Amino acid sequence: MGELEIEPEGKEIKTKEISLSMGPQHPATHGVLRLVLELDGETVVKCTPHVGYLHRGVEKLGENRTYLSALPLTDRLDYISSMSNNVGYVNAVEKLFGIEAPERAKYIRTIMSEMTRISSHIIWLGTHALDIGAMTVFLYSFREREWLLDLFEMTCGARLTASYPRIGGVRNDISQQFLDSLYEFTQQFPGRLDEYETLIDKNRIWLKRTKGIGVISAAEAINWGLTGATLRGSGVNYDVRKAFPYDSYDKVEFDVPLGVHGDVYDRYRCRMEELRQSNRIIKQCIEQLPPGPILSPDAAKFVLPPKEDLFKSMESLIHHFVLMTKGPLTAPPGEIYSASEVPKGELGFYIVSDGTGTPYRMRVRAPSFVHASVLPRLCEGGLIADVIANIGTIDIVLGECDR
Amino acid sequence: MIEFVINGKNIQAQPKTTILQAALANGIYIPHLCWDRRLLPYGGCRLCLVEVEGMHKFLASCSTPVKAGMIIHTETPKLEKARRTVLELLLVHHPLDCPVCDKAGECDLQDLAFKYGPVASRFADERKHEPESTAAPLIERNANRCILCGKCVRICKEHQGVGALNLIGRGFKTKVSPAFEETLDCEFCGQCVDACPVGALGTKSYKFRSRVWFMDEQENICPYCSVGCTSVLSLRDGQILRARGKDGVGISKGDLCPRGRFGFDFIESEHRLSTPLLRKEGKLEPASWQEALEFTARRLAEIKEAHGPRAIGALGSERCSVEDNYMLKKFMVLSLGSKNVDSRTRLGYAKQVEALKKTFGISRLALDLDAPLKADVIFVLESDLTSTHPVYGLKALAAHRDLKATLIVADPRESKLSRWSSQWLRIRPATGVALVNGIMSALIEADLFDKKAEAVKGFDELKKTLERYKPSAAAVMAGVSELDIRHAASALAAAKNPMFMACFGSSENTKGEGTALALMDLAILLGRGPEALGLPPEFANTMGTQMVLEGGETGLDAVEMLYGGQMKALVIMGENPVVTFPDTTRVMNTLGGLELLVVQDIMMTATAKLAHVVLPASGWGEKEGTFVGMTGKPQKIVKCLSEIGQGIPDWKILRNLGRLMHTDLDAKSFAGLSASALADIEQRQETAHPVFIPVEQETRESADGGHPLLFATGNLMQHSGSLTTISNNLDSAAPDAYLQINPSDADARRIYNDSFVKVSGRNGEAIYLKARVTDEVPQGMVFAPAHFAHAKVNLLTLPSKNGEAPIAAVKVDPA
Amino acid sequence: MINKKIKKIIDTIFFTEIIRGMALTLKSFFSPAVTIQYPEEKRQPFPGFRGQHAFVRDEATGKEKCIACGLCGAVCPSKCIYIYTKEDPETRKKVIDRYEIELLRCVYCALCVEACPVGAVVLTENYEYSEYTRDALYMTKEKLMDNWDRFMAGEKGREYFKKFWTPGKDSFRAYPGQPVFKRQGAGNKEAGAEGK
Repeated sequence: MGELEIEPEGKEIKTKEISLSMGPQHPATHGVLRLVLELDGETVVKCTPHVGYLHRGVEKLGENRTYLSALPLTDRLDYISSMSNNVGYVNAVEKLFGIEAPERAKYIRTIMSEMTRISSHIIWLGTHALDIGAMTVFLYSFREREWLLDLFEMTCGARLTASYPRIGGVRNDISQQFLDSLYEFTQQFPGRLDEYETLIDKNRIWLKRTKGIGVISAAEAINWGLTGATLRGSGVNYDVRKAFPYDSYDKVEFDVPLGVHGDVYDRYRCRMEELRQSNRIIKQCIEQLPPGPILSPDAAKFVLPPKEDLFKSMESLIHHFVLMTKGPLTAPPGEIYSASEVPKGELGFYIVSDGTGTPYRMRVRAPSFVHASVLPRLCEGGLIADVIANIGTIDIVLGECDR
Repeated sequence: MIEFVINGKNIQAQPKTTILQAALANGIYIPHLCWDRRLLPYGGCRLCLVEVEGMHKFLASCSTPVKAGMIIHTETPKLEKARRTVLELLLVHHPLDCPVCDKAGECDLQDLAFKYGPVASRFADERKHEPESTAAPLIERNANRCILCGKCVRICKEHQGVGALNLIGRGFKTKVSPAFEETLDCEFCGQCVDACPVGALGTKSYKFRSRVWFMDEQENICPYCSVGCTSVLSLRDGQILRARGKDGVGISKGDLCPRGRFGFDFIESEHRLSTPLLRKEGKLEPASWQEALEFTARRLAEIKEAHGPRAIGALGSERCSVEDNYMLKKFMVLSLGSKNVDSRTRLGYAKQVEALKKTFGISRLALDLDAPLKADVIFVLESDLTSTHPVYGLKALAAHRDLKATLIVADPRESKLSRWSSQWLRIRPATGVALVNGIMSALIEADLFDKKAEAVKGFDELKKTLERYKPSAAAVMAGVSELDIRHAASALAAAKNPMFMACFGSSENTKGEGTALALMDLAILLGRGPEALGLPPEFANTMGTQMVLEGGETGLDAVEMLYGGQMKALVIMGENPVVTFPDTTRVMNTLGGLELLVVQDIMMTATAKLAHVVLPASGWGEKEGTFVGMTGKPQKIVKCLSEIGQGIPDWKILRNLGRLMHTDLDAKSFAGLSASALADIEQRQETAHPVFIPVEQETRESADGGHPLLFATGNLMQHSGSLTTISNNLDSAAPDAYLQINPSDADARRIYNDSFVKVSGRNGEAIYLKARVTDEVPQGMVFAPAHFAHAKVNLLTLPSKNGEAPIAAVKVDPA
Repeated sequence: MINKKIKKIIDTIFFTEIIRGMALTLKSFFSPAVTIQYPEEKRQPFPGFRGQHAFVRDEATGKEKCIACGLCGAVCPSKCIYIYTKEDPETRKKVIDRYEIELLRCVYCALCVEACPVGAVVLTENYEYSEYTRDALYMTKEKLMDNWDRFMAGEKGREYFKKFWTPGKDSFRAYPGQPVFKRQGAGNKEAGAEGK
C-alpha cells in the first residue's frame, strides 16, 4: 500500500505520507462516494470526501415539472427509503398549498414512513455489519426487508420507487391483506431484532470495531448539523417527529432513543432501539387506523378528480387536464420549509411557489450530504480500517447526497 | 393623471383608462375572456367584474373607465362567487372535448375554469352537436367549443377591417359564422385563431398534429415582408408545426398576416434541393460538393481569363440574410475582381432609394411601425399596403378608424384601404405622378403650401413643371374630378402631421421612380421631411440587401446585367429571375446565352433549371442571419431547424468557393462575418437636405386601340413572391393566378367569371389566365398577381427605362 | 460486581457471545430457505405491480382504446412517451400515428396510467424486460398492444387495471368494507409468507 524506500546502507526505514483514493467504486462506500485519504502508515491524516458522482439535478428537474410529476424524483433521493421522501415532499407541498390530507391517509403515511424506517435501518445494519466483518446479519436482515418490500409492492405496485403518497392523501387505499400481514410483521419483528442483537451486540470484534470509534460530542454534532440517529447517538434529543409532529406522529406513543458517548456503537444502539420504536408506532397506527377518505375531498384544486366523473362533468375534465399538464395553477405564491424525519435524518424540502403549477424553486436539505461532510472530522486521526466503520455509522446514501 | 385605489394599492392612470387596463398595468390580474388589448371594450364574458365602493352593482372592469377616488376591489368572496357562476354557466354546454381539442393546455377557458371555476357542476344539460366547419381553407371552426365571446368577430372587423365573421342565430343556436353560413372566404390572416380563447377556431395545418406540451417555442423573424414581425414558432422534432403571434412580442406586438402565420411550410416543400447539381451532357445530375465547387471555380477563372471580370455578374437576394449578401459582394470583388453585384431591389425598392438620394440626399428611410398612428392625414398612393405589408397597413387603418385621421387613398384598384378611406381617388392606373402634380399645383394655386418650400432648391423648376398640371388638367390625366384633387389638397394642407405612404414593390408596375419623386416633392412642398414618408421596403431583408450591395463601388445593375446582353457568367443567389423579373423572354435569352450560370437556391426554381451548376442552400430557419426590415434595425433570425440534405448557408458556399479560388474572404466564423457586415451598414449617418425634382407623368406603354387595357401586376395578401407559392398552406388559400377585369370590359369581350382568357402584349407574347370579373379594377385596367411560375405573367411585363411606371398595355380575348 | 467480573472472564475465555451467535446460525441452518431459485422459480408479483407497459386493447373494437389526448406524455416525469397524431382524412377524427415509449428512460412511476382519462395504458406484471439491444426496449404501439395480449387480456386485465384506476369516487369517502384493523383477523399469513 505505502511506498517504502529502504536506504541502501542504513537500517532506518524512511516513510512518507501517501494519498489513497477510496471509491467511487468501493463496496464499503455505500454508493459512489469517493474519499481521498492522506495516510501516514495506517493513520488517516486527512480525509476529503468527493461527492457528486450521482448528481442528476433533482432540484432543477423538480422546478421544471408540475408538483405531481416531481414526486417520482423524490423516490430517487434516498432510494432505499423512497416512501419517506415521498411523504416528506407531499407534506411540504401540502403545507405550501394550505391543504391537509384526511386522517386515514395520514395514518397510512405514518405506517409507510415507519415501514421505510425499518427497511432502511435493517439494510443499514446488514451492510454496516458486513463492512465491519459480520456477514450473517446481512443475510438475516434482508429476510425481513423482503417482507416489507412485498408489502410495499402489494400497496403501490413497486418495491423500491414507491411514488405512493399524493398531494392531499395517498394514491390508493391499502388492502385488508396488507393490514393483516403488516400486523403479523409487527408481532414477529421484535423477535427478529433479538436475533440480530444475538449475533453482534456483544460480539467482541464488533465491540472493538465500534466502541470509542468516530466519537463526536453533542455540541459538535449540533454544530456539524447532524440529524437523525447520527445526532441522537451523541445524546441530543432532537427528532422531527417529536419536535414538529407531522402526519399521525402526535397520535401515537413512542420514545426517542438516545446514545451517550457519540461513538459508532452508540449510534448502532440508537438505530436498533429506533427499530423497536418504529415497530411500536406501526402497531399503534394499525390499531387506530380510521375508515374514511384517503384523498382530501376539500382540496379539489390540488387533488385529481374521481376518474368516474371525467366524461360526465366538464369541470372534472378541466381539473384533470390542468392538474396533469400545468399543475395546480391555484398554488398560492409563497415559500415553505418543511422537514420530516427520514431514516437518515432530517430531510427538508424548501419550496418556493410563484403561483404557477410548477415550483419556482425546489431545494432539498439532504441529511446524507450534511452527514458526508462530517466524515473528515470522524476519520482524521483514526485508522484506515475505521474509515469503513465511520462511513457505515453516518448511514449515507449517495443518491440523496448528490441529488 | 387620475388617482384611485385597487385592492388597497394607490394607482395612477390616464383618464379614459379602463379599470382592467389600469389593474393589468400595475400587476393586478383580473380574469377576462373577451377583452383584448387591440379591441374596443365589449363586456361580454362578465368575468372581469369588480366591486367599486359606493356602487350597488358589480362593474365590468374592461368597459368601466377609472374615476378619481374610486376604491376598487378585485378579489372578494362575492366576486369569486359571481365568477364561479359565470364559469359554471359557460361550461354547461361545453363539450367534453379536452382530450382531442388542440387548444387544451393553452386554453384560456381551461385555465380560468381551473383558477376561478367551480369544482363540480350543478347543471346537467345538453351539449352542442354542431358539425365542424371544415370546408374553408386554413381555418376550421368548431361551434360546439365556442363560448361566444365574440373576440374573433371583433378582431376581424375592428382590427383587421374585414368583417368576415359574425355571430349569427339566437340563443342556444348562436354561432360564429360568415354571413348566411357560407364557407369562410376571407384574407385568412388567422388573427381570429390566435384571438380565440378556446378551441373553437383552429388552423387546418396544425389540427391534431401535436399537443402543446410536446412542442418547443422559438421566436423568429418572419421571412416575408419588411415589417419584421416576430412569429412564435412551435417546433416538434425539428419541424415547424405552427406559427403564432404572441401578444406583445416583437415589433408587431403579436399581429401577424397570412404569410407570417401560414407561410412557414415552404421550408419543408418537396421542391427543396438536397444535393449540388451539375450539368453533364445537357442534364442536371447530382454531384458532390467538391465536384460542383471545383467546376464552378474553374469555369469562373476561365471566363475571367477570357472575357475579363466585367463579364461576370452576380445577383443577391432580398430573401437572404445581410451576411449572405455581404459575402456575395465580397466574393465578387475579392475573388473575381468584379463589381457587378445587384439584386431585384433594382426593380422596386431602389426606385425609392434613388428618389430619396435625389430629393433629400439620403439613402435610407428608417420607418416607425407606429408612425401612421401619429399622423392626422394619411395619403396612400397606388399601393395596397394591407396586402403587401399587412401589419403596417393595419396601422393606417387604425389611425383612420380609431384615431379619426383622414385617410386619402389614390388607387385604381379597390383595396381594404380604399374601402375604409375618407376619400378614394380612383385614378387611372399608373397616373400617380399626374395626381400628385395636380395636388401640388392646387396647393400652390391656393397658396396653401409651406412657405419654407419657396427657399428650397428647384422650387421654380417645380412651379414651371406644375404649370402643365393645373388641377383641371391633372384631373383629366388621372381620371378623377378636379374637385377631388382640390379636396385632397386642402385636406393635406390642413394637416399638422401628414404622412405619405406607398410601397415600391418589384412586382408592381404602376409606379416608377418618378412616382416616388413626386411624392417626395409633395412632402417637401408641405414642409415635411423624410419622416413623413411611409415607404416600406418590400421584403424582410430588402433594406439590408440594398445597403450591403450598394456599399463600396458598384458596377452594372440588375437591369443592365439581365437585359444588357454583355454577361458571360452569372452567379445568382436566392433569386429566380425567370419568374420574378419582367420580360421573361429577354431574361431567358440572357440566361440561356451565358457560358456559366451558377444558381444557389433552396429550391429547384425555373432559373435553376437553366443553370450549369445548382448549389443547395439552407433557408430561413435553418441558418443564423440578420434581416434589416423597414425599421432599419438589424433583427437576428435564429436557426431552429436542421439543414435539408447537403444544404449549407449561402455564405458558407461562397466562402468555400473563395477558398477554391485561393482568396481569403475573412469569414472564419458566422459571428465575425456578421459583425463586419453589420458594421458596414450601421455606420451610415445621414441628414436630409431637400431639393425639388419635378417629374412628368410618363408610363412605359399606354393603351391604344390594339391593346386597350393596362396590365397591372402586383402582390396578394397571401403571396408576395416565389417563396409563398411553394407553401402548401398559402396555396390552399390563394391557389392560382387570375386576371381581374372590370365587368364592363368583360362584357364587351364576352368574358365570364372563371373563364380562361388570353392576354397578349405588344411584345407578341401571350398568356392564359382565369378571369375574375370584378369591379375591384376600373374599366381599362386588368390586374394579375405576378408570382405563380406557371402563369408566366412576367412574359408581358417590362422593366422601367427612365424611371417611368413600367406598366404594359395588353389585349384580352376569351381563350 | 464479582459475579459480573467472573461472567466477563468466562465470556472472554469461552467466547460465549460468539457461540450464541453460532447457535443461532445453526438453528437457521435447519429452517426452511427464504430465498427462491430465480430464474428456475418465478415469483408472482402482486396485482397492481408496475412492470412493463401495455396498450389496452378495446374488447369491443379490437383496436386501441387510446384517444391520443397526450396527458400521459405531459405528466411523464422522464418525458419518455412520444405520441404522434394526425387527422384521419376520412372520419376527420384524431388518430394515432405512432405511440412510443422509450423504456430505457421510463421510471415506472405509473403516472401515465393515472393521467389517462380512458384507461388506455397500463403497467403489466411483466418484470422480466431485460434485453440485449436498445431497440428491443423502444416500445411501439404494436409491441405495447402485444404486451396487452400476452399479459393482460381478458378478465385478468380488467381486474388488474382497477388497481390503477385512481383516484376513484371511493378515494374521497369511507366505503363499506374499507380495510381497518380487526383483532381477530390478525392471523392472516398469506402475504409475506415467504419472508419468514
